[in-house]
Amino acid sequence: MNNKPNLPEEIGFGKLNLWGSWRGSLNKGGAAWMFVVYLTDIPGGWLLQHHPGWPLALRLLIALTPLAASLLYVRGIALWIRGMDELHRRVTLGAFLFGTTLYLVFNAGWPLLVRSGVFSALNLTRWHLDQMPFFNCTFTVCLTYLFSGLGYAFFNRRYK
Amino acid sequence: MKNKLRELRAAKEWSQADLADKLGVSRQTINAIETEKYDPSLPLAFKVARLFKTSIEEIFELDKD
Repeated sequence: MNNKPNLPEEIGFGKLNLWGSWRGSLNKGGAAWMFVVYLTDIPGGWLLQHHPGWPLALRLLIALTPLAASLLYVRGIALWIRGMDELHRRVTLGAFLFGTTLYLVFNAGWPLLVRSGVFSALNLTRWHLDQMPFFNCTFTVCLTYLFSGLGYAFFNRRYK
Repeated sequence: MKNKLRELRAAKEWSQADLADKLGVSRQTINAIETEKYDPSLPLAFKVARLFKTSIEEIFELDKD
């Protein structure tokens, strides 16, 4: 019987060696579904924009694939967390809660910053900071993962 | 919460990794309990007590304040 609990490090958290941890963690924590999101979201958006005449069913399939993959990714993460021991489960849940909340704050606050004209005033529009794609699945998954990683580093510091 | 986990483990000549394997937790969890940075759940405290064939009170002691 495999008695080993899942470790957050195995899906990339807490390691600076991103390539090594990503390569080894492709089938862990729903990471494979995360890559499906990356591979279908932006090309799908391009296809929908450039082929408005395609049948509705096909367009719907293209539009919903990244969303379905995102949900499967979240399911994979949830199952992965369930297999952790109690300390890591607590830390990782806290990290994901932190990441998701921070993402929602950014999502809600960014358009307000754009409308206030702060990016134009500071000449930051040349980096397209006023056009952050919060509606995009890839962007959402990446940013939430990044914020969760920050949360993990913060919450796990105490137990190192 | 204070505990005698390190002493009990040392008496058995187990490493933190050995104890972690026996309890089905990570080595970091054992280290966090031993350094009193983390209080284990009641089920884990029972597992520890059973493993060392003693009672929870013999291993874990609540701080007076």
